[in-house]
Amino acid sequence: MEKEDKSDRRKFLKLGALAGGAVLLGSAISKAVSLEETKETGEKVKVLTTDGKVMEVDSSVVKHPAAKLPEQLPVREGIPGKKFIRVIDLGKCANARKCIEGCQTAHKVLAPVEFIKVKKMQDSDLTAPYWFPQMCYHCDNPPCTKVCPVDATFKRSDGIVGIDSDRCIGCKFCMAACPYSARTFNFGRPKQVQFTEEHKDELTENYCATKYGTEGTVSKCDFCPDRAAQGLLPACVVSCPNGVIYHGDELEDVVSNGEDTFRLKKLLKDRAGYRQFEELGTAPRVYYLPPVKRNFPFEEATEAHNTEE
Amino acid sequence: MEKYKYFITICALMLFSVTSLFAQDKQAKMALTFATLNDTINVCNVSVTSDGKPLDGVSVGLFVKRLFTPLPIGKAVTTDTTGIASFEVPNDIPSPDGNLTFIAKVEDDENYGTFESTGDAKLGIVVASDNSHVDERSIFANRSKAPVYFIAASLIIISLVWGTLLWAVLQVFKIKGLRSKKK
Amino acid sequence: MSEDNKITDSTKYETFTQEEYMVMKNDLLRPIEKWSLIGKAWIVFLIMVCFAGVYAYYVQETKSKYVTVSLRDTTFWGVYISNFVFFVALSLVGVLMSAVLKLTHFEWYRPLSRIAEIIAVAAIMLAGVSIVAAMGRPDRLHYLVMYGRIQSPIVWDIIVIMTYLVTSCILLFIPLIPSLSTCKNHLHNLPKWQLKMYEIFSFGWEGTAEQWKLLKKTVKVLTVLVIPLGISIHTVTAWLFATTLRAEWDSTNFGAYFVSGAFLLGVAAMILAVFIFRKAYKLEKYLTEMHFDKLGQALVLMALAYAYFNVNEYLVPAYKMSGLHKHHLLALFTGEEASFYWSVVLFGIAIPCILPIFRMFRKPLPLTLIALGVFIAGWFKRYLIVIPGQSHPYLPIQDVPPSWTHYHPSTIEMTIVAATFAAVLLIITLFSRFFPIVSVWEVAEGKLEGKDEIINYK
Repeated sequence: MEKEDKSDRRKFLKLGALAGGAVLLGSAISKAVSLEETKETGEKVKVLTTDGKVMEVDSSVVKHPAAKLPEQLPVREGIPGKKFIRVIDLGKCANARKCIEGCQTAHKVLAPVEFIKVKKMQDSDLTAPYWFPQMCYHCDNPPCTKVCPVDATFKRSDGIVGIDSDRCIGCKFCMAACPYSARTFNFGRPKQVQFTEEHKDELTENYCATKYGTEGTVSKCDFCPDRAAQGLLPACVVSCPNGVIYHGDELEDVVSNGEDTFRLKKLLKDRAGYRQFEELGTAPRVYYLPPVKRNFPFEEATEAHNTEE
Repeated sequence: MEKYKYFITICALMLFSVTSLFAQDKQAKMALTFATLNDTINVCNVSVTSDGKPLDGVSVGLFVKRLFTPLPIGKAVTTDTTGIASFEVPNDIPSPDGNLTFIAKVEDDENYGTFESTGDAKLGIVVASDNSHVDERSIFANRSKAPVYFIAASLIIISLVWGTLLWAVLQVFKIKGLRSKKK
Repeated sequence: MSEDNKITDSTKYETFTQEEYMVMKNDLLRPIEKWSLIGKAWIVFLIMVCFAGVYAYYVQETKSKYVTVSLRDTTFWGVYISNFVFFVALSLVGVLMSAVLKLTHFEWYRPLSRIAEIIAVAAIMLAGVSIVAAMGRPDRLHYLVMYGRIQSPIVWDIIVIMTYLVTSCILLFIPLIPSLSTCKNHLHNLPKWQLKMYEIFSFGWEGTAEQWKLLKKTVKVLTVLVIPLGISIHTVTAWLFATTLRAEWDSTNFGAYFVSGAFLLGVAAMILAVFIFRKAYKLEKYLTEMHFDKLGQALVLMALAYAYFNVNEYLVPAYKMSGLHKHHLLALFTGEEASFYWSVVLFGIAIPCILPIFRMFRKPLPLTLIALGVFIAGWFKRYLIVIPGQSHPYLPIQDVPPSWTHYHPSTIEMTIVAATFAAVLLIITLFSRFFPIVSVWEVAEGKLEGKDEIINYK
């Protein structure tokens, strides 16, 4: 809405009567929309929030299950002709944690399990701290798929390192092999099990059909290939309010955060893109742009989010 | 009070739609043509017309269709008196078959609102996924793609060791056989 | 043995002093004939602990592992894995105490070789059980066969462990054949099935020259084979860690470090076993003070070797104190694991390096106490290798619930670990109650040392 307000296109002066109307309109529409949403039924239901708290809300707020969820694409096959890649602009991250929450909603995962994490990094006392969003790097020389005894994790032709949770035997060797601690194991946390069961037919926001691994198997960020197949950006990318995460296709030489679209190679060249722990030789498919020209001053996180067991 | 606001909103909305319709009753069209200058520079010309007449002063953006969001080709260009906005297309835009889908977009023009038009041209460079990375034998590949030396070495070692074990078990039965011979 | 062919049966078989042998045979068969009350109670106790473990495993698999097991994403390999490493290490005792001593003609191996072999077999079996307990989806165990990937160190480990288990079983069984024949001929007051078992498994052993020749040849080949196999199993187990990029495991020293640790543990386990069998089955005549003296010397040697690898493994990285190793090493040296770590160094390395040098500490009781320290420290040593390092990955662990930051094994986990120990002891105990734990013929043969003769005895 703000963008429309700023644009000079309308030139409402011409239309006299509606001078300044856009501003009124902007606020009015949003109000009207919210009015409609809060049409209460008076009926209260208990829901579990993404951070695992039980909340009592009006039944009108609860989304009704979709008639049919989209089918998950074959997990072992890459999307033809694609090679997904990601660029993260560290100068833009303000630890809003919306990527974490968006991802958890899309994949129906509850905190403290995070496929994408935001970590505070500070290399030395003299250098400035910065926020570091981090997920599976979908390495081109993946140490995790090397060690898997049963082909449960594998490199796909579209660059994604996938997990077949129907194959995984839960040895956790891939977790040991990953130097980035990107993998998470489903230990069957009761709250999560209940949540998964209750919400299994629900079409969540930015829904991605790739499942959270079944109990006793390993899961991680999967670059939301089901969304990509429909031309949709992954949940974390669209959830980020600051446009930190650029996702794209290496073969198209393009990355996008939903707002801005850049040529990948030029972006990495101009902004001195680098990969985390290059020296490990894992060849990650996630690049970082150094935290220079910050959009936000660094603010220490005062709140611990994942306190609940 | 809430309901009153709601009513106002509806009124404002209706008024707005009527006026906008009124403001944008003129329709404009775009056509994309492609040319190569001096055999080196690819150009995309977008001609904007309304009722057959070229429109000047319209700001046009040119994009290339990509998987997620379209990639802008340079900055927006304003049409000249002939109604043409000319874009230089870089010659290194990758595509699986060289074909590129261009999207010309006019956004929020004061008279003509938002409209777009697409056109295809073989201006891209062919970059196709060869899958060689996942198809070749390697340590991180699938079980069927294990390196030959892995398979060979393990088969040799396993057969040598288990051959010896099998031989040892046979010796045990041979010990029994030695008894029978005597009796 | 080139003269074997010329030896005629009648002259050579009788060269063994039959009287001497009869006494020996009675001593060594006694534990099979008479089960003492304490012996029975011990077996019942072990079975109960095993059942407790089975129940704990049932609880673990039917309830949420988040509740029953203390593992989290931060520390995902816990006591099951360290216990697995411990048992694999323990199983190397067969290699050291039977094969290496035999091939290098240390004649005092004779009464020890079967004890070592059965410890090896029991330990490697329970190593397998430990690893299954650690699995998230044990119901998919057969996937390892169906979809096994030869590139994965886990698959190597399974292959090599299976091979070692089979080899150890054969190597335990073949020298048992003459003993089974002895059992068949001399044990009578036993259940019918047991006598039948001796009959079947003695494979028509009559002790002919050809049979002896064949048996010795086969044992010799297997003895040679088992050494590289034993070293392989522990090296491959070390590779489960060393093939990862984690700083605390990313070491080229790891295979040798693990093998040397296993040899030290093997000597300690042997001392304990010898002490217990000697007392429980009154085998002082066969498991003598000489054995403790020799084992004490072996303990010093192995402890020195292990100390050497520890210096390489910890002090060299500590000298550099790179950012990758810093947190892990400091946690061990001066941090939260320090008292734990230094106790392990003291009891597991320093004491066995120094004390058994003095003769007085190579007497049965003091040496057994030292070995007990080494044994317990050995278990915790594997714990320290596997677990604390996981808390210090390359990217810092931040914003996690309290239980994710530090691992304390749960009751369920410790019950299962206790049960694996009980199962190892149960296998060894039951074996020693059905088969002579000290090889009758090998000891008898030893008495004829230097005469190079084939013995026949019934």
